[in-house]
Amino acid sequence: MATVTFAKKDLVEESGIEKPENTIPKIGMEVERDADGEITVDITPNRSDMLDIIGLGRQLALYEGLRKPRRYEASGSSGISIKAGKLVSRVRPNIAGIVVKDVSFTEASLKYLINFSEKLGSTLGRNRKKLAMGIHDLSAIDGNLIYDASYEGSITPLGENAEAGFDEVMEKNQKGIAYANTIAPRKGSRQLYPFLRDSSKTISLIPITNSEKTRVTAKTKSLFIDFTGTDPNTVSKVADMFACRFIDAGAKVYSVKVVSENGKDVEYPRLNSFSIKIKASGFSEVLGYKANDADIKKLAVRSGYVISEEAKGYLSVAVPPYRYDVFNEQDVYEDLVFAYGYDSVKSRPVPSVNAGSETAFTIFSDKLTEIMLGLGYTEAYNNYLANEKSEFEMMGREPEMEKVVSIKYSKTENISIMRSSILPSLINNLKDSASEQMPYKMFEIGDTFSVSEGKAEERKSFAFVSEHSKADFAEAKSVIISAMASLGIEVGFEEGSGTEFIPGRCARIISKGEDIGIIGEVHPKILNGFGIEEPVVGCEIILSKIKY
Amino acid sequence: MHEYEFKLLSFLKDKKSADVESIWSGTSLGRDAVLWASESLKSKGAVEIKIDSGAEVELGPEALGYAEGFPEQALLAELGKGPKKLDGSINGIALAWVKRNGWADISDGKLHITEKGRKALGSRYEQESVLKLLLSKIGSNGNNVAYVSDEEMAGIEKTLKELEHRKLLLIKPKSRIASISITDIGMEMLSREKTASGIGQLTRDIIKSRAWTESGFRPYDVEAPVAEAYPARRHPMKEFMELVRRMWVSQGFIETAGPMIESSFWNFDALFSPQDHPTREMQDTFFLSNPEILGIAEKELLKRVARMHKKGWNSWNEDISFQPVLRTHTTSVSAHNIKEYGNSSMLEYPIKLFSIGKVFRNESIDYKHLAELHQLDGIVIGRGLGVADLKGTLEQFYKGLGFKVKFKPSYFPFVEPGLEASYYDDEHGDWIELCGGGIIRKEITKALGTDMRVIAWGAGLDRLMFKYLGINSLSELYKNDIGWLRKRKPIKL
Repeated sequence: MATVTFAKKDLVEESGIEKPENTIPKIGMEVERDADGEITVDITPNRSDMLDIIGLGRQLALYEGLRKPRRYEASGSSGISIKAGKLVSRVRPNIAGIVVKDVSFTEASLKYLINFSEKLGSTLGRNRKKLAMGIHDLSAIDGNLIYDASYEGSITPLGENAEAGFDEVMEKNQKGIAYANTIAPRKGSRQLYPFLRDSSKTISLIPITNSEKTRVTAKTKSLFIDFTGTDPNTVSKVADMFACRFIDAGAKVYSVKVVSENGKDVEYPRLNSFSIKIKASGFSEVLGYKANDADIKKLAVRSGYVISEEAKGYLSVAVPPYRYDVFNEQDVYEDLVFAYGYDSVKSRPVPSVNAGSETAFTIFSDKLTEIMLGLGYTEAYNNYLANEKSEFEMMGREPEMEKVVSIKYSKTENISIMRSSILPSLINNLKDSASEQMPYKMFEIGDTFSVSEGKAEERKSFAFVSEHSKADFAEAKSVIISAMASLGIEVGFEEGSGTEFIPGRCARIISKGEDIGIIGEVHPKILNGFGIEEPVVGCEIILSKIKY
Repeated sequence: MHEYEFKLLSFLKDKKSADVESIWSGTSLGRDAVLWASESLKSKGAVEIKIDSGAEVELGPEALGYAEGFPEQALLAELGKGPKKLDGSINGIALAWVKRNGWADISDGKLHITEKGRKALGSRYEQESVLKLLLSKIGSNGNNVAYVSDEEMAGIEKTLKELEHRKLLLIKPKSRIASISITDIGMEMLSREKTASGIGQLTRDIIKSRAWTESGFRPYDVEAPVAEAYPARRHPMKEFMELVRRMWVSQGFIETAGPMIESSFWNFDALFSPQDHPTREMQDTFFLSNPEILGIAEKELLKRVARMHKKGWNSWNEDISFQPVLRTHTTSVSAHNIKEYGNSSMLEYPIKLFSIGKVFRNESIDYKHLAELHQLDGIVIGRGLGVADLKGTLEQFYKGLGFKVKFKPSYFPFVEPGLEASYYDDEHGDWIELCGGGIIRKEITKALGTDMRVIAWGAGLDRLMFKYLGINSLSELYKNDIGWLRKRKPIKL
């Protein structure tokens, strides 16, 4: 989730709404904080246009009917072209540019613009890899531009006063270090630096830093903005998004021609608006009951759509160029539902035509739980994420890692695998239970995990432990026999062994000729390891091996 | 009042104070019973217990053999009669100690008694008298342990150490009850016991022999405090999950389950989550190194989902799709369900399904954030389902949990339109999210092979435990400290 913070008075002014905090949730966003004259809004990832105060203000004003939807057009050609070279197509093939004139910034509005482009680069732009933009003072640019990549070059990075080599920027400049991965070469290839140059200098090392020489200040009156990235559609749509926000702000936008190697020239911003046909019947389907034509027209307008055609049985709506998330009528209906408001939606619970039921395992597990509670065992519920120490080392077990479900990377140090049995957790629970009234009797029904022939196995398992001064094998054996007998399951016992048990006091549990579990007196060397001072017996069986 | 307590107080009534041994021999109560009763009475203020610090001295088997005299004493007696030739007939221990005590010296290969030895002949041997003292303390308790108080210790410590050095005994510091004395509260409690005589604990003999017809019953102090008893209990999260499960079942929902170890295909791709989406990074999701790959056998399904991604997001890669993850939401189970129940001839539509289970997030763990959480996912598959059905179904369900819910627009990549249900929490004075939901995107239902409409929702369960269980930390929930499990609050809906 991406949050943006504005001075509340600025948002009030931009939207024309006195209490924007009441309208924000209605358009699907969330007010994170509203205090000290500031408002922080959580913007969902499908509406990056609202990361901008102008975009958010526009949508709020439309929703409340304070503004009518409009069409967006460029005021003409800027006469500037960008020639895209061959080498850059290998690393960052797409570029668009726009020129904006008659800009009037305040310190605050410039800050919002810069924050918007930063947020956009980190979210939609996937930390500038998929998309980044550079905002320049148009008056500092000489002539036409070249977009290409090279193995070396130099720039005066923003905030610095001396020219530095590209490699030096990557090594020393904060942004160079932070975004190095966006242009990292493939193994065995040389580092290529995408750049943008005018006739005399490099104006941007992309997507790392702009040149100090084209720095924008609150006094800047005209802008050149470049959009570059790996996805042509995103680059083009974001150029539109910027064009729209400047047009809404009262500035004039002029197009920039991109001339590519293959000779196909494209003018940006494209601002082509396409139309979608919507129907009252289609909207009714989404709602679940009948809506009429007059309703959907009003709702479409309040969602920002220009009505391009009104016909019997349908409406054509023009998708505004700042939207990159609307492709078909379903997408429009979503906006219409928001404009309609969930409070106004009728409420109708779905009737039941089938009987409700629990899974066979839930039913079985409830029965087993009831029996264990009856036998005086309290239910434990442990984490399934574990580590080699808790799972193997503490139990004196030698792990067979090829059978262990293992995690690639964990933020938390003590998580590295999925547990393969329950007993280690239960014994650890006994340790954590120190100084309570004895006996300690606990059980758990849950999942255990393993890998077999490259496939993950999730097994339903059951285990119990008992700790007190007289705990012994016979006690555990009688518990498992009677618990299983109550469920109609007969079990047998054969001499077994396990590193955590005392030799000669451990048995394999057999059902229908198959090993289903293990039972025994826990070896004092294990108890010493945990710091447990009373005898412990334990038992674990794999329920997946019995028919429940 | 318990029978033991009554006996103990009665015994103390005249004596006012007594040591454990005399209580135990005077009351027919066992040692443990005396200790239990005195602790219990102490907690009620009925007795005071005076603790002595000192040491427990455990006598070894050799020491018991010296009860009739030490070997060096026997040797000294012989030397009193005349010098003795140094040969194998002299006991080594005796020889060492006569020399160490200065009772004899050696000349011309013979052992001669000294002046000091002659004096010792007629007088008391310190080691012997200490041993005798200890033996008298052991009495008849049979475990060869004598208790020596700090006071007594002062006079005999040096000798005791000598005896310990000879490995005849072991000294362990230990405090013990010196005396138990009755307090005014105790006297009053005793007088409150209306009849001092009569039957206490009813026994098989008393019932069978009808002895009760003659003696009557001693009434108990029914207002007296008793020891706590703990029932075995369910784990609160499991108990809560069971409550939620029953609620859905009662509203005609069928429970389903799915794997926790899941392919990225089912956890993300089938739900239209773009392959370059930030939540699909290692920072947020647990990817697995073993197993390394989880493929999708059904080629047609794979093709349809791939097509959906290429159309919606311009990219799709099979290697990414087959990466195994720990499921990040139970919506993956819903995806399986849409495919499974999208063309059912067994059940009638609308088909209502839910699942409840663990989900995993690669989190830095603190009291609010856990790596393992619990979620619930519900779907209804049918024709003509819309937002009204979703709203009604969720309202009905949450009413059962005691919530009046409000809906607002929200965004999830797999639904359109999306909504969020929340309730007003009086304690926080704020709206708290309960679940997110919406109508599953047509692209998804189509890719999963059905032309039915699907309404869906998902809810986290763990945070509700703050409210239902009155806890402040989520990690508390999974520590499984038996004391906490025994004493935790009941779950109140």
